[in-house]
Amino acid sequence: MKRPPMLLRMRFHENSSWGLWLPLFLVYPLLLVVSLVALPFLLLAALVMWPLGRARLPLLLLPYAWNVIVQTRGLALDVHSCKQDVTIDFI
Amino acid sequence: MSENKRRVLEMLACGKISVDEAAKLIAALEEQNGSEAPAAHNYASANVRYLRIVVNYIKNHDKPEKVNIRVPVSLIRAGMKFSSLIPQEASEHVDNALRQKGIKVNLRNLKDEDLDTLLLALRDLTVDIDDGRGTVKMWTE
Repeated sequence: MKRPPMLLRMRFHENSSWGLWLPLFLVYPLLLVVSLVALPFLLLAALVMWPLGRARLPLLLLPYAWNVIVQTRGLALDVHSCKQDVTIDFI
Repeated sequence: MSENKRRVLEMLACGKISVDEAAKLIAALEEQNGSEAPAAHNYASANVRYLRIVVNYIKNHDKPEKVNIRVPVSLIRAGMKFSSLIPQEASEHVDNALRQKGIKVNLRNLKDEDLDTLLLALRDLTVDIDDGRGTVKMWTE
């Protein structure tokens, strides 16, 4: 199983240079709590939307969203302009 | 033409098999080739991990602006799966907005096999666009 990104590294350079390491691993327990709170509501929404044939959205929303978060590992964005430089890296 | 098909046609020419038998054999060979092709296709695209895009843009003869993006292919796949959850009505709005910007792409029609084909093509070539003001380079690694 692939691990989600643990850190988000951001570097900015305008007049002065500064960087930021965001510990994403601290966000995941919060996401888990939010997901657990949202889960009954999503299941309820799925039950309501089942006759309309739209239960897929509430049922698959959480797993698909988590999949997107996990796959961001390795995403890197580097912008160099005449005024500023920005680097964003999911590690 | 494959070697097997040629052999079947030779057998037909020699009169060793009938036209019906030759047709059946060729159909079976085509079916076999059809089932093998996607597996090879997926294997080739599975080796591709990142899509790299580099944009160099020269604005008013200043220092060129450079954008360097590395996107994991798995993220593109996950995004495509996620976008399949978008309801039909909402995706029509997105398509209309894209059409107004001159982009005639229906994102719902983009399938996983299309992405495989695209990645397979990008594995062997680098897309290089130069319009005089800047360049866009795209390749996979």
